[in-house]
Amino acid sequence: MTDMLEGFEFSDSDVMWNPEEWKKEEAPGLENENIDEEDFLDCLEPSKKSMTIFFLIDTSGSMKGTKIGTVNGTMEELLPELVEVGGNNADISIAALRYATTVTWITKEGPVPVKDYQIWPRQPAGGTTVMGAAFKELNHKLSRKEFMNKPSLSYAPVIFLMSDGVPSDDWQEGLNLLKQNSWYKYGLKIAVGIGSNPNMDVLREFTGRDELAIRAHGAKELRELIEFLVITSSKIGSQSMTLTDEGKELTEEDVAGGKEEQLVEAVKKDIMGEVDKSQDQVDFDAGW
Amino acid sequence: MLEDRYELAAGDKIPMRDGSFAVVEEKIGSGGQGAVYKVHYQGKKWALKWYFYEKIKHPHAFRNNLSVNIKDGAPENSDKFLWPKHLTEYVSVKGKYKTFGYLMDLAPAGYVELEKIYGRFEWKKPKVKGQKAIQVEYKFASLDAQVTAAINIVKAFRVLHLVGKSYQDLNLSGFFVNPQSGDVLICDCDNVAPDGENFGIGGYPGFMAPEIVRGVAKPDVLTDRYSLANVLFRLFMRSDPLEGKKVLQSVVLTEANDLKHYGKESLFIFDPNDASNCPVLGVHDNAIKLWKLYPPYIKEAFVKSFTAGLKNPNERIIEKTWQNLLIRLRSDIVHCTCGKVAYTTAFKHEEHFICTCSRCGSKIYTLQMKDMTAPLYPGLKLYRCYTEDEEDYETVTGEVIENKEHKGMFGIKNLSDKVWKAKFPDNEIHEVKPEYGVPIWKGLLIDFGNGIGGRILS
Repeated sequence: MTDMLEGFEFSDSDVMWNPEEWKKEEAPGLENENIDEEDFLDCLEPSKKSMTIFFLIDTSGSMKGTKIGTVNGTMEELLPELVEVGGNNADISIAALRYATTVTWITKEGPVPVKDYQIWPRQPAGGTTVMGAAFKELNHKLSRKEFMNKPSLSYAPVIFLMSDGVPSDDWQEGLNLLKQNSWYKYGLKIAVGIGSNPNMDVLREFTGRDELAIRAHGAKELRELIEFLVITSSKIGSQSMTLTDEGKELTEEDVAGGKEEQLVEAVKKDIMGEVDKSQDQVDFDAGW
Repeated sequence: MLEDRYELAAGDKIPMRDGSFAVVEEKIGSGGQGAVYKVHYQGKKWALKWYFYEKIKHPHAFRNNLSVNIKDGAPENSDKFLWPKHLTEYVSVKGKYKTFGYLMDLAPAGYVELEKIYGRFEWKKPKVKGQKAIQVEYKFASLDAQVTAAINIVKAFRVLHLVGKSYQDLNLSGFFVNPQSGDVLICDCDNVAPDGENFGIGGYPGFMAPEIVRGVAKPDVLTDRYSLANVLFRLFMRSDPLEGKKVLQSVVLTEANDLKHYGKESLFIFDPNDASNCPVLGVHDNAIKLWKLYPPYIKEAFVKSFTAGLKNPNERIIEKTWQNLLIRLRSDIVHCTCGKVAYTTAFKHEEHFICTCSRCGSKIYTLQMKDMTAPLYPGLKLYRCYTEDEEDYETVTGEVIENKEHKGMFGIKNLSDKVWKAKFPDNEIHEVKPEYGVPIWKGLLIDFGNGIGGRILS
């Protein structure tokens, strides 16, 4: 018996699990909580960041016919494509409004998670173009008290403006108001001008970057632009930045606008070359 | 034409360096630097990583490094790395540039990306337009499998770092895991480089060491260690170690806030000296619930990693230490006969080394071997690292079982190839040959040989 213990390595000081530590391990009340294996394995989803894509859709009378038809058809095809974009990192929601003679939220209850929003209600067109009122309404909802009230952390929104014409109200007043809004300021703004008559100056002022206000002449171009811009900006918007190797301590100024820069790069590289401008597409404004 | 597209399509023939071709079958994944395709080459199926050339910062140096890695082979020839095996030739894309890729083994069936298990649910687009999005569920089959996966991850990085290389892009999507067994395969080994060298990758947001986020360091072994602790934390606590109250208060994660919370002013959610970034109920529920279920030595390791180790890279925990802690954690899992499975922390400890199941009242004794302890329950496996002077935590050398002829009598069966000696209930020392057993009793002592012993603690 004594022989057997000889040369063994344990002494009380070697015991990693000493009584003092043992006492510490008695988390108060834990043993009464009926913890089981499933508690470790059946977790909730980890907290995800939320990101909202806002669509501001011009449904004025001039959009009637093929233009609104293409927008509706593209939105129908876009919704399923957005389901997988956020991955584990972000929950992506949709908030859409249409503006014509009045401003109406298509998503009446506020932003809807895209996984639950798979049926696009096709929008009719008719009336004037109250873009300024749309900006004001967006500004009102871009608030912690309104649409941006998720308890989880958010990424700045993607805001996508579509228009085929000239605003019929005071767009400048609305946009000035919107420009004061931090959600708008940090958000990724993109705009598509449809057909031959959009006021591109307004759209460029909305995005703040000339490269992010793009003209779509025909149906195929419009569909490809919407898809590309929404998916690319959602991907960039719903991820944290991978910073560049500057080799120096970065400041807030160094990183500010980094996502917008990424989006501009993507637009320059891919859209300018990719969108099909071939002759076989339906020109919205031909033959009138 | 292959040259007209950024992406590959089924049937594309990719020229290899031996003059033959790899034929593309289907796309199986996509990442920041490129897409992954299943291909057929030399009579076998492979995974082809095909780069978006413009996403690679220093393509020539990157390709040369990849070539060196292929020549070196996986560390210790381990089959746990889906290591680069063959480089392709350059292929011209749209006349703009030439790109390339490499072949690696495909992950076998039954393995899933660890990222999916972390996320618990994956949302996939509906098969038919207008239908609901599809939810797919992922989880480990057992707590043992989860801890075993952690041990395997740590072991692989220990091996990689000991051959002087760093991984650089350590995050949850770099692992294929078998949820049944906890077996792990390390993929995306294309950024692996000699420690101190970097070919452009910065890392993955949320996993990068603060000094990389700040722009003052590039990935190396020490930043790998930060990311490793981050992966382990997420694996066990199902939460981001740095996202707490302070981060939530900034509401929007702008680029500047990212730099602040993940770089300059990063703060652990369980920092014992600063509660300003503590987890928030209703948002970080996983962390709140799971943290308290882990034994103190695991929590201490995370605290060290994300306090001192957050600021000072040299204070980060080395892989060998993680390996020991995690092997200990695995041996702290109690499987009570009533079916309850949890760490010993969830059992009553009325007497120091005896824990009592709160569900069925069973008493569970503790066996000490070397400097390890393990609760003795039927089915407990002893591994070679407990009973021999080896680091092998996979080979089973003993198991607690019920005697077939005497119901209710439990013992430790010798599954090793060594002859043990043990003190039996008759107070005599007997030999325990392989495939024989020794009954468990209060005065049990086992000599596993080489000065390694086991005893019941009381």
